[in-house]
Amino acid sequence: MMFGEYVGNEYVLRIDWWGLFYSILKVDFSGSWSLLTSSLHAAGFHPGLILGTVEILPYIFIYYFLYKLFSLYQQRKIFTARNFKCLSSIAVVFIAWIVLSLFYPMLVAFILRVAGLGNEVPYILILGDQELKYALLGMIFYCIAWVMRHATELEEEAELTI
Amino acid sequence: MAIIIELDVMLAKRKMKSTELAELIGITPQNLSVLRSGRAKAIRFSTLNAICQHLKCEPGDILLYKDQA
Repeated sequence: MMFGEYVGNEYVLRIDWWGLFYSILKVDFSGSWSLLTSSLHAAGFHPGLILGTVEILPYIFIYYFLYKLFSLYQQRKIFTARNFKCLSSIAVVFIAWIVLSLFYPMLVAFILRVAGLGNEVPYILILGDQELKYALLGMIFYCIAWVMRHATELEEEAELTI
Repeated sequence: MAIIIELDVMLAKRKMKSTELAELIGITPQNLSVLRSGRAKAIRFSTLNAICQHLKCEPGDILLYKDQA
């Protein structure tokens, strides 16, 4: 199956390697997403497809900015404007993730109700520990970006001191 | 900036090339060029001392203040 088997709020994808061994990939939804997963599954929808594809978006952006950041480090560019832009972009992704985490379940329920496909799917809005973790990570990355910006200014000043 | 670097004038008066001065004071010609063009944000006392020593001048001969208000 494309997104694996639904086993108690988790999607488990088992890949068999010619009977020699197998790999297991698990995706679990937490907070309001967990409640929506059960509701969508009960209503006959595929939560892995509806929620999983959206949940992967912040990860893609974060990995992309980390890749850009580490590429700059590889080129020995440590204190540049591009470095702190990468870090502040990661902070923005975390903040956007809070919005996504809070309102996407409501959006899904709204669309399904308007389309008349799932009137039993409830509107769920929960501000839980997951969102607080995103807020904390966003603030940490924002602080690192701020420190890096000042470090870049100091580096420029040092370079232009003759 | 209100502080003007008149190093080129002193170099011309002393008939000295900038590369020669850079070598004498122990900085790269690129850094001396940054100083001459006015892009420098600060100048070390040791650099100023070396410039004055080799150009036989006062700091006021190469650093001028012009009110831009």
